[in-house]
Parts: sequence; structure tokens; C-alpha cells
Amino acid sequence: MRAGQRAAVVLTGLLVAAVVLSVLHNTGAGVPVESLILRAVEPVRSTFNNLARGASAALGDLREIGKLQDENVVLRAELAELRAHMARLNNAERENNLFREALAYLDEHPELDLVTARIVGRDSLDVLDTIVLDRGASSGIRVGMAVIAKGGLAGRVIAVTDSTADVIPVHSPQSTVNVLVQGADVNADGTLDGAHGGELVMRHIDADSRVEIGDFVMTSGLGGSLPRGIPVGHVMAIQISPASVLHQAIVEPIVRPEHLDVVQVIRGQTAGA
Amino acid sequence: MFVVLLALVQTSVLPYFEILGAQPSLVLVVVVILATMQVGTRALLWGFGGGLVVDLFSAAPLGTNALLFTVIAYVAGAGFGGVDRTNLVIPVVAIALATFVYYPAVLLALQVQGVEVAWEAHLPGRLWPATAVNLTAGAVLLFPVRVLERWTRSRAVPTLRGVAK
Repeated sequence: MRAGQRAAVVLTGLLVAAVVLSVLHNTGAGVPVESLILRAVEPVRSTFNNLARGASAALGDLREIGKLQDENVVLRAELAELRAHMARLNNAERENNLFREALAYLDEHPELDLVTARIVGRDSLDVLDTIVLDRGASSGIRVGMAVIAKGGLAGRVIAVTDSTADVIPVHSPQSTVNVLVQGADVNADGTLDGAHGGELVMRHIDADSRVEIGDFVMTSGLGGSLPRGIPVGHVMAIQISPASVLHQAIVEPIVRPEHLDVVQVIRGQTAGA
Repeated sequence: MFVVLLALVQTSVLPYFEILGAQPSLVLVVVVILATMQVGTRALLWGFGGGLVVDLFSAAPLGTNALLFTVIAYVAGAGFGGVDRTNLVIPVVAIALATFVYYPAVLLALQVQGVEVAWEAHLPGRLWPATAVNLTAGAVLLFPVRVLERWTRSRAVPTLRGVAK
């Protein structure tokens, strides 16, 4: 038999065998033999399967780690963006509160002619502690006008340009303001000087006056530069000197200008107030 | 034994490592490589045996792959059999053609046996990836299969003049 004929015979035989096997399988007759063979190789198949599953899971974990790292980068960027957004919101909220306080004071004192200004600079030499406002003569601000914030005296204008105003804060050692103490049964005048450390010292208090800790201190209006009745602070301590007939008191200011962003300048009192 | 091992790897290991959405059909690739190297009936026996093992280890009805691999081995042997061992083009072409024939044929064979086949889900998107991974598998297996073929032939076909070439 030639090679080609032999191949054809073998091919035919194998195809017939395949068809027979298929019939046996589909009729169920061959299933027991298949089961026997599969049972014999089952341990090897299981081992292969377990190894492959483990390797696949490890690869999946590696891919997952890479994916998580990518997500981590994205989330960090989002977090940074959200933090920046949060900071902007906090800043806006703080400014909003400041403006609300300023408006509230304006509502409480409709007779006052106020101009709101933003603090745009501070004394870099730290000698006078002056602050610079973004409003000046063009807004009607003049030297000597009172500057208030959060319902209390913040300082006094000492110089102006068209667009800016320099303010000496009430706590500056160079600042002196005429004030009076208003308590339950007291109404004493004095002068309030700034001091290093942020506290205020009220001097020239009549020894006969019965100033007490906690009494309210406000501008007296003497001298005419500042309106009467602007809150300044509260008496923290009273210092009595045996050598003097005048007492002095330590006053805690309502306003600490170093924490301010927005203030109001009292240009005067509106007509009819 | 080599084919049994490949069939085990193909049916138990490779399903976990799909490449381009397809798995290489190692036994098919080996049968085609052997068929391109041999003229005669041995490739047919490799095809039948390899297909039978794949049938046993996979979910295919017994005889399906045995029949298809036998036919593919016959056609590959008739068309490309006995090529020069240094020729790399013939095995590549044979593997690509065999893959293109095998996948539709096995789906058809399954359908004939009553299995519901989703042709659109299996064929259009998978034929090219399957061809690519089978060619890659062929590149990896070509040298080992040639060594195996030479070894088995020298043991199986002794002559009076020595080992048949």
C-alpha cells in the first residue's frame, strides 16, 4: 500500500473512531469510561488548576495595586484641590462674618456716617503699629477720625492720601484716647494709653471714683476728635498708688487690630441724628 | 505525554490567563507544527490523540476535537508536510490558517451536536486575537516540538541503516 493510500485509510479510520466516540458520548454510553479517565487525572488537574488560580490571583492583586496607586494619585490631587477650595470657603466665610459684624454695628448706630475699608498694610518697622486702609481722602476720610471694628474702637486716622489712610491702633504706645468708665454707680473720666503687650492703661482716674473690675470703658468725646460712646474695653485691674491721688486701670480692649481685615471709619454723624 | 501535559495546561491553566481576550490552543499549534514536518500517518495520530485529550479535559463532547484535529493534521500535512526544518514561514502560515479554520469549525461541530452556540459572541472579535496568541504559542513551541519530533522519530523508526532521516 502506498503512503498516500495508507494515510487515507488511517484518516478514515480515525474519523470513524472520532464519530463513534462522539456518538458514545452523546448517548451516554461512553461516559463511564470518560469518568474513569478523568478521575485518574483529577489530582494532576486540581494541582494545575490551583497553581493557575493562585498565580492569576497574585497577578490580579498586582494589577489591583497598580490601579490603587493610580487612584491614590488622583484622590490626593482631588484632596489638595478640595483643601484649597475649603480654605477659600473659610476665608470667604470669615470675611462674610466681618462684614456682617460691621453691618450690625451700622444698624445699631444709624446716626453714624461710616465708610468701610479693608486693611491693606501694616507698619513694617513695628514702631507705631500703624495699619494702612484702602480708602483715603477721596472717600471722605480725614485725619483724626475714629476707626471702629466689631463694635469697638480700633484706632484713629493719623494720615491720609487720596486712596489710603494710616491708622494708629488704640493699643499702640503712641495712642492716647479720652475715655470714661461707665459702671453701676460710677462715671469717671481718664485718658487711655496704649502699651506694649496689647493691653491698655487708663490713667488719671479720680481716686474718689468707684471704678470696679469689669466696668465698661468708652470714648468720652472730650477734645472733639472722637465721638462719645464708642466702646473700648473692660476694666481688668485697678492700680492704686499711695503716692498719688489718681488711680489707673488696666483695660482689656474689645478690638485687637492685629486680627482685623476690615474696619469702618466714622466720618461723622448724619444730619438729624 | 507531552500532548497530555499541553492539554492539561490548555484546559486547566490558560483559562486564568487570557491574552487579548483569547487563549492559545496549544495542542492545535503542536499538531500543526508536527504535520508540517512530517509526511505520513504519524501527524494524523498526533492530531487524533491530541484532540481526544483536549476533549477529555475540556467541556467539549468527546470526539469533537479529535475529529477536527485529525482533519487539520491531514490537510496541513498534505499542504505543507515535509518542509525544510529551517523554514519558519510555513509553520506560521499553517498555524494562522488552522486557527481560522478551527474556531468556526469547532463551533459548527458543537452546534451540530445540539449545543447552543452564540456565533456573534465567539467569532468576530476573537478570531484575530486567537490567531495572534496561537502564533505566539507557535513561536515558543516550534523548537521544543521539533526536538521532540526528531527524538520520537529516531526511537520509533529504526532501520537497518540506522536512524531514519
